[in-house]
Amino acid sequence: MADTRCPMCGKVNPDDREECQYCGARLVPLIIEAPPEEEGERGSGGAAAESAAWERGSGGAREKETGEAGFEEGFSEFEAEGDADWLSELRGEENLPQPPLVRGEENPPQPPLIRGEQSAPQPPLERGEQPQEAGEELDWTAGEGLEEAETPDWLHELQEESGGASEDQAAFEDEAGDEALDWLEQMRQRGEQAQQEEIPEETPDPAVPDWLEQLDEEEEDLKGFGKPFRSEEPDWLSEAAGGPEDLAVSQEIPEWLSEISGPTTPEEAEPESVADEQSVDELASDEIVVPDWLSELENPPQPPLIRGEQSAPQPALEKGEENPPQPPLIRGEQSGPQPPLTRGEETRQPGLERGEENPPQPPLTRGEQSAAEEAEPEISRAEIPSWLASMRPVEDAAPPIAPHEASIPRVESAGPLSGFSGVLSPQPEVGQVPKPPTYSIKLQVSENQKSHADLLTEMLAQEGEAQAIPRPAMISPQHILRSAIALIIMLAVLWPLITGSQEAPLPSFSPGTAAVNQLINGLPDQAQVLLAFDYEPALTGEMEPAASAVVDHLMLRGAYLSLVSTSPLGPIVAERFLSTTQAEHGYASDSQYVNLGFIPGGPAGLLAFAESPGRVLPYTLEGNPAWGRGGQPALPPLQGVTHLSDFDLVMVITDSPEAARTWVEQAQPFLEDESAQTPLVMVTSAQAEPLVRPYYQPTSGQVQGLLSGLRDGGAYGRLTGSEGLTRKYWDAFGLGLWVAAAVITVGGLVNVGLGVGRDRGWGIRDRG
Amino acid sequence: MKAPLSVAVAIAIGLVVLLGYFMPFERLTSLRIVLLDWAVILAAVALLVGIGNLIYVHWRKSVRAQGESVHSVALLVSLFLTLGVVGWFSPTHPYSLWIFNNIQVPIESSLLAILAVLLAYALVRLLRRRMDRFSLVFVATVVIVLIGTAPLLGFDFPILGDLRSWLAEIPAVGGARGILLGIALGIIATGVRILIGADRPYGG
Amino acid sequence: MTTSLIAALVVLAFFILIILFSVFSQRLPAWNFRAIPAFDRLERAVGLAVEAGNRLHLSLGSGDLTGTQSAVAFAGLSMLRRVARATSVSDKPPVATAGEGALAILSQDTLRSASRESGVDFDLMNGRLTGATPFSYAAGALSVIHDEDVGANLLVGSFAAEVALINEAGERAHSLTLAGTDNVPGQAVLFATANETLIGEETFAGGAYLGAGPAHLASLRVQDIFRLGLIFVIVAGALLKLLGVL
Repeated sequence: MADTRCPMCGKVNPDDREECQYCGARLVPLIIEAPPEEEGERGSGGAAAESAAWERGSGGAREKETGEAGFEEGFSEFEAEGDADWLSELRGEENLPQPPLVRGEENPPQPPLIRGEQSAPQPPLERGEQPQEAGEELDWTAGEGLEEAETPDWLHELQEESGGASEDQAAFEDEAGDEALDWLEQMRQRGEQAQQEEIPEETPDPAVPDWLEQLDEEEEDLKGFGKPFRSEEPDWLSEAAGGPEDLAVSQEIPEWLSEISGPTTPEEAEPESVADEQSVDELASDEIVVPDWLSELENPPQPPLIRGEQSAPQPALEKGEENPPQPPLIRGEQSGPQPPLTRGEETRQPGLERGEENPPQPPLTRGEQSAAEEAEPEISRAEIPSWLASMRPVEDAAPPIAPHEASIPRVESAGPLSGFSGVLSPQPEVGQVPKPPTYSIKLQVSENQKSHADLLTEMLAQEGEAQAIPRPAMISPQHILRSAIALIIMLAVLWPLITGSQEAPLPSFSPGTAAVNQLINGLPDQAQVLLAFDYEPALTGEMEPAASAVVDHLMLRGAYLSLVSTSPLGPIVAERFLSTTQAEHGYASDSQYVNLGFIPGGPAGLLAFAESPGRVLPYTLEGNPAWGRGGQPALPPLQGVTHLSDFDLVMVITDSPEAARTWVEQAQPFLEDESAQTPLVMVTSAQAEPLVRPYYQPTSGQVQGLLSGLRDGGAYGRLTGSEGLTRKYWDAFGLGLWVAAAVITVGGLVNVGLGVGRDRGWGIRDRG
Repeated sequence: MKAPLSVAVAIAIGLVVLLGYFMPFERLTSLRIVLLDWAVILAAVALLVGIGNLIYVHWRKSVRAQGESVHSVALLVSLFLTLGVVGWFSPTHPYSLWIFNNIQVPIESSLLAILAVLLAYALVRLLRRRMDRFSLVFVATVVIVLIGTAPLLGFDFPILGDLRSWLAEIPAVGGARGILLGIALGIIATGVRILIGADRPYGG
Repeated sequence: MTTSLIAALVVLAFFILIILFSVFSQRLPAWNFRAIPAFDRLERAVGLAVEAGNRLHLSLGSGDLTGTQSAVAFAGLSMLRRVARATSVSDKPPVATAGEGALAILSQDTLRSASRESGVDFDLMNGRLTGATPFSYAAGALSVIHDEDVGANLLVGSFAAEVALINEAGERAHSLTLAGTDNVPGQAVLFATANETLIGEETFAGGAYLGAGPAHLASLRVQDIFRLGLIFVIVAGALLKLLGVL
């Protein structure tokens, strides 16, 4: 199966594929079926139809209007220059299958441009010139003959694509020229026959005529070349086929034809307006106006590439390559010696805009050029029409191109290929491996990083080392301050004790103190009093002076005392109290007083004791039955006592506000009975006074008497005349309080000043 | 829940005692008294257990020669000696009273005396450690109460006495009551948490 | 009888509200509690103790478990549980001291539970009775602070003036002292001597601030509600008394 080369990427694809398997470009140009009324329009062959269709599909539609106008104008000019009889002959009978033309396009299908080819400059439409409508007879062709046969479009294009040496072109032309006369004559005759035929719209004919395929195989095919070409006869051919007299067929080689092989003057190379209406007479005159396309035949023709042709390997187009993708060749199309173009024949390029001159054509790469040269040196290189060049895809949309092809083509300077560009380098680029950059294997460490690393290393090294704990100073400012305060207070307290000073008057009694005194004075003789010693041994220094006067008063009244305690050391504290402060009364245990011991369980135990004293504390501290058992009477302090309310007075001596509150909350409710209420008196420490005083308030009435601290104890002693222990301590107590207040005041002010100075940065350091 | 039996027993007994306080049912009251008696006995036993723990700790210290072990030895010696004397004779025996009067009371009294110096020193540093309005009020109140409690030798300042009495009877009482009310709420909340089993101080 | 009835209603209301707030804690709006610096320092102290290899000393005071002083002791036990769990992985576990026999047993039980949960061995010496009386208990706690490398002291229980001795020892040992008590004179002493003091019912909020559970947060909410109610009753009663109504 023959292979097809993709016009976009240049890679070979199977023949049966419609799209390139590498880049996805269409291998088979799109052919739009033309409407029936325009079916008669024919172009120069199926290849041209496909080309036109492809061009339109790739963007030629936007130029359809102008392109068609230009094309038709050029076509009309071509026709004006003389209808080729041979084309008319090629057009032939009506039964010949006509390639469908593109809708709306009246221009005959043109053979596709070969990659890299440059279309001949197309004469632009002149102002005012209207595109020729389909079927419209060209004025200049109507009834007018062409003195000279004109080269069909496809032939002209083939000649342009041939490129190559002028010798080949000339040879071809010479050879074609002899035979051109025959087939031109034939075409002219046929043109007359088909003069009235309307040229249908060009529709791309996917089927490539056979004659096109046989172009390069047999030179003899050129004779009947017109036959397969008959299906793509341009309009002018059919119109101009009216009479042989219209066409001045000369046995001589037309001047334009002979000039094909030779250089043309620059003036002749200038594009001319295709729309110039020239009468047949003008064209038939000796003065032949060389069309632009013809004058540009001086350009080195390039042999066209034909599909399936095993040309020299073409480097894939790279991005940015100047050569744009070219329309694919018509299937079966073969390049070969093309009949020379007749004068006036011009490449029908649809899409030419008015005034559009030769559009910039992408130059061929060196490889393409050389490959094209190698493939078909004998075929002139066709030029890319302007409309095709304008549809050149942008570089971004272009298919990826091999990197090495994107480089600037190198012009070979030596060897047999000198002067050619795009030649492969003899040295493979793969071998030219650039020398890799040299990197230092030494670790690059900045100064900052180095310092951090050193610091980390030092920290890790210190981790295993035992840090020496700084020993605190033996003598610190705090030690000095504490010692000074202690010394001052001690001196203030010891001084009156040492000197025996008793100058400070005892305080006056308070209402609470007076109430206690009244209560005790109102007790009957040999009253039974319950004393609770609920203070700790540490506070004996305050509680003994505070309670000594009251207990002394009780003992002077001859009251029996029952001692209890909710503290484990309470019984011992009570014993000490009586033996140290009340020794002169000579109270005997189990006779005048009884020590019932410790009440366990806190408030719950006290509650239980309040409910049933004999059940909770049945024995004395010595282990003797206190409440009478087995017929034995109770001890004198507890005789007749079964409930807490049976006592004449309950006195709680405590330093703890909680203990005082517990007695008030648990025991006081049990002190009331139907007949009387047993008073509850509190002797508390000065620190508990604020919490106990609310119970003494008249509104509360739960506590009937209150003595707090050394102050009330001294006042009660002053009231009863038994100052005793309080008098001994009162002066020292007062001086000590005043000195402590002074120390606190002065020391506080000094510390405040030091703190302010530290905060304001006066150079004072905090030594803790 | 760990140890559900202990939680159930604690909750049940707590609810019985609580309801026994508020509901005048004789059986409930009797049950409450019984349970309270058990609590009293357990508290006394717990004191003995604590004493045993004290002996164990100081015994280990003295055996291991850990830290200041001489103090642990002295404690153990004094403990057994006192236990022996009081247990052999009686708590009211003169020997027992001699130990209490000449060792215990002076030691604890001395600690209380040291407390006076420490409190004075703490007040001297208070203004430097915590300088705010509350500290100023605190120090001022202390000074006023100190100088209003006792006269300075032969000089008595009644106004200071009155001021001291007013401070002790009005602001101090009000503040103390407020604190006590808040503490009471906290006590109730703690008790309720224990009764519902949310707080289990008994471990498990 | 009236007093008993009012007390019963108050206790019943506490029951109901604490249960409700505990159960529906997620649905209730957030109740922002004020920051207590003492607990913030406690958390840092716990972390520092673990890092430095010190131990924490937690003292429960000498309150009687059969009385009202047991509540603050239970609060101390709750904090002991939280602290013990946090410091169980340290080199030196916390030590708990108490001035009452039952408290000493409970502290041992709490430390044993924390040790069991952490998978470490429990030492009976970590929970001890240091003295039967408050001052002897304080004197015994001094030896713990000086001899056993204590980094921070947490004193939560019933303390009287003897707590000043413990605070002084902590200051000499350059260790943090955080204290709270239900004893009013003790609070005055703590205000002057401790680094961080818990005044009033702040002592009972320790469990809530240390994340002991929703019941602790619920109890704080109920306490706030009742406190507002008490304020209203007191102010209203004072006004009515002033106006001669009462």
